[in-house]
Amino acid sequence: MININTNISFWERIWNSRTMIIDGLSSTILVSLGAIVLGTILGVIIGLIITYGNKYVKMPFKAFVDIVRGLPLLVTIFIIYYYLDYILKSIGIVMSPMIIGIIALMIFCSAQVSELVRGALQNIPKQQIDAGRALGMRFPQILKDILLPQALVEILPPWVNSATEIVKGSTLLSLVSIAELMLVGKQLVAKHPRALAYYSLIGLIYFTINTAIELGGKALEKKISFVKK
Amino acid sequence: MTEPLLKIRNLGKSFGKVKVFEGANLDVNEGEVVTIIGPSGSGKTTLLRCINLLEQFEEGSILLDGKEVGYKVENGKRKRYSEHVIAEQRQMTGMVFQQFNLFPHMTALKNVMLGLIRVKKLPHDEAEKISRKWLERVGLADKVDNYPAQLSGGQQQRVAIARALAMNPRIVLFDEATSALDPELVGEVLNVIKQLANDGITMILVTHEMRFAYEVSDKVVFMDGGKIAAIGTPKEIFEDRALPRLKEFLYNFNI
Repeated sequence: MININTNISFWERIWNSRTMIIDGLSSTILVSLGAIVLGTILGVIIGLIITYGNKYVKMPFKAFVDIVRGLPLLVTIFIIYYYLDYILKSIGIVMSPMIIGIIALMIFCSAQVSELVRGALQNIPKQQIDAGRALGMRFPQILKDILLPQALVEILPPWVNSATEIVKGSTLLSLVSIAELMLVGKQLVAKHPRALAYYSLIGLIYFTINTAIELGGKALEKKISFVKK
Repeated sequence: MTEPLLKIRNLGKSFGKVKVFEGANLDVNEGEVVTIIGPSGSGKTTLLRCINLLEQFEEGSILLDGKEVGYKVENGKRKRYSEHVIAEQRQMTGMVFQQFNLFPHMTALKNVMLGLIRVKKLPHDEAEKISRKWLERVGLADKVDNYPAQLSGGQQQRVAIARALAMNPRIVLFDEATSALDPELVGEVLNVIKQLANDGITMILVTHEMRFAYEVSDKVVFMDGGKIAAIGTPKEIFEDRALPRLKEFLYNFNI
């Protein structure tokens, strides 16, 4: 039964729906965190392949990145959600919508990160590699000790930005019925005719998450930065 | 007479269809200081980069301490060694670059230590001790904790020299080590190089500092149009100037 007792205040309703909101928030955090962590790992690998791989190896990866970056996130989510679900079901695997949501956002994140990695690595002068080689270092060592540390400093600020984009993008998962915070908000609004208040609250939660990410990013930036010209 | 430390025989290198140099022959003995002079585009830097195997070359051979580096012959076919072997062979040479090429995210000390730890696999303490000693030798004992961006060009180049020397290479290659420096900073770097030359370190320098070349060299190589046009003592090259092209080239330097 829909509760239409208008004597209950807004805050009481929120209090009564707290488990729903907390569950939604946990899902949002889980999906975003999963997508950011996995997407970053995948993105670094793809970025390295595109930067240093031979032209045949990097072709499919470049195509992947171009396609994902060219599509609206919502379209990517729909494609992954329906196609992956269809393919997996046809081979007898049932995956929870949550996992599929993570995969969709992870793919989006990896495409963004791979471009950041490629851009940062290509900006490092080739002479840095020469200097490492002249010391007798091998390429994997040069990558680890010379190139990636410099690239990381360049990448961090836009990467933090990407992370907040993922959190914002996770709201789109509500359109494929994944019970994250946005969907919870919608459900609350459907029950109670106070859309502005509910969405404001939901918005405030997203704002808090993203502010936390940005503050964390700034702190990390300070830690890893080195004196530049 | 002992074997030369470095033997270059009939070395040839092209970028695509463009020949950079060909038929280069050069011997460098232990403890010798050899300078390479010549107009720009004559292949000096590329020759130096070939010795350090930073460039591939199509013809001829380079022997370091009697052993051919860079390429081997397998079933009658010339083959470049794997990166692994090349990385090892590179340890016999050290290189100082025109643009210093210090690692900007590391302090002066860490710049010098990196190769000792990663390549020579020395323990941290020992690597630090050697690095401090070398930074002191180039007059930068008080700058060990500075980042490259906090150092002048001359100081950066001295860190780069310490970084190359700390690896204890058999030959040190200087690629126009003072060309990127403001004129007032050239002297401090040349003095360090001179000191190393006096200490008996074998080196090959590509340089436009003619007076310096005249003073420190045991042997001067004049490259012109992709060939080694003349090799001689500083006196033969700078005073006798037997070759018209050499005369013309040196005339431009007002010496």
